[in-house]
Amino acid sequence: VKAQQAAGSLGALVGVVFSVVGILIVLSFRFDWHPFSAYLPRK
Amino acid sequence: MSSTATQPGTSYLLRKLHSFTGVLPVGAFLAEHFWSNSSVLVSAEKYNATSQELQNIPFRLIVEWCGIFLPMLFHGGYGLYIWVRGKSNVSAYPWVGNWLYVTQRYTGMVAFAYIGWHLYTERWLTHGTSTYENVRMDMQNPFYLTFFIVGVLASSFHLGVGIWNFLSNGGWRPP
Repeated sequence: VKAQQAAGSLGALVGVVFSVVGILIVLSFRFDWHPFSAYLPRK
Repeated sequence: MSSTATQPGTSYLLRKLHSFTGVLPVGAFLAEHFWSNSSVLVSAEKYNATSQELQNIPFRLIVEWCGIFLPMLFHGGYGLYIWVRGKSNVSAYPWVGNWLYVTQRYTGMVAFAYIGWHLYTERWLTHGTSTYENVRMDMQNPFYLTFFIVGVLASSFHLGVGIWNFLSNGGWRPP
């Protein structure tokens, strides 16, 4: 039962993380929005 | 013990393979796809560079067909077959597990349709040379934007429940 609960927690985590990342990618394209642009070295 | 009890039938093995292919390679590809597309969160140039790199991998067609398209066709096609043959008992037994099972079937169908459309518009129509500008222009269309969001949510939910099923019981479900 504990293993099944752990599997369920992992599945839920994957579902939520993938949903959030996927929506962020869509919003980035839609609004020309690049929240991690600060990573780029400044010229 | 009878021989039938020790030798799993074709249907049983196909169901195991169906569950397995949902995680590997289809689920793993989704993770890679989201990872590489996350380049857009840095910049358009970074996205184009990542896209260009993926477009130039060695044996690209073999990798695409053997590692992505064929496993996806099997997973989606056999999933539809299971769904058509199965009988929902969610109204008789409205447990969370049953609801998840039914919702996974619907999200699987939505994800399959979305992935087919996504492949057609972003892979075939662009001849595999999609750029940031191509996708950005697509996202200005409300229909495309909505379908993208629905497809992403359906695919993520489907994978999450699929991982739970796969780890819990190897994808086996009583018919």
